[in-house]
Amino acid sequence: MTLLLYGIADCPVGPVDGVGLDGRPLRGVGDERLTAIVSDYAQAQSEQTENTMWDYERVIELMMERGTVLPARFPSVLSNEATALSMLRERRGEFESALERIRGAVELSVRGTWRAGEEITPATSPATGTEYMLDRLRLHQRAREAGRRLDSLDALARASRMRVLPNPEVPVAGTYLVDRERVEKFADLLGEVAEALDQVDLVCTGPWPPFSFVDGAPV
Amino acid sequence: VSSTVYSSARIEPARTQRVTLIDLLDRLLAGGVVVHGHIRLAVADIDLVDLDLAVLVAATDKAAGR
Repeated sequence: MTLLLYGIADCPVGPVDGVGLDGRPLRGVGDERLTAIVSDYAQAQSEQTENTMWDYERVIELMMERGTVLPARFPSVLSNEATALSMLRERRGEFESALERIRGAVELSVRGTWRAGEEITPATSPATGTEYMLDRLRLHQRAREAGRRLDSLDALARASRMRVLPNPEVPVAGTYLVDRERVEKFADLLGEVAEALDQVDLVCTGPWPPFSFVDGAPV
Repeated sequence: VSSTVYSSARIEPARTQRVTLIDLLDRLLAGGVVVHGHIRLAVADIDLVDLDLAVLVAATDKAAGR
């Protein structure tokens, strides 16, 4: 049977309490420095639902209560324990740097939506290509302005990434790596920023395992 | 447990819940340590059409090595 990888913890391998997907017990595979947290996994028999996604995320949150964990993309399936050990050996430097980067931090997501009444498309269809392009330009300008108002959040984050207008419905989508003890302060500041916006409403979700900050690559 | 940290008062609770689900899927399917290229996007009870397609398409491209 194959293994489902939940994450990589910076601790010596040892017993792991808890239950993973499909009621399979969690266990650790690793060495004196790193542990891959896994459970047996029959991929072909496992239906993925919204609840599966939440269960997977909660396993990682549980692991984070015990130490620093690099979350794995879902579903990361390993052939067997030998494959897991070889992965830890070959990528040890990469994993240890990433663990150091996220130690003590969580991820927060900030997503904007256009406020009701702030229509994202003009009331009438543009008559020409030029009008269409000008409409798009104005939309980008409004989204960029909202993005600039979020800049003050960077002061409370170790790292952040912002996407402006990832799609027409979403003017801004940011993700922030924040020290766990600063989450409340971040939420308070976000509330102040949100109150000052006149076209965009904000939702902040988390704290998430730092999925977006494990490899240093842009989102 | 991850949930809503802040939501503008003008946003309906149902929409806030939807955003939380989108954020969950964005992270699980497009973030995290990658140990191999397989990404399965079919999630049985979720309509993926409404999700952040830019992220999902990027995840698929990355998995396919494009």
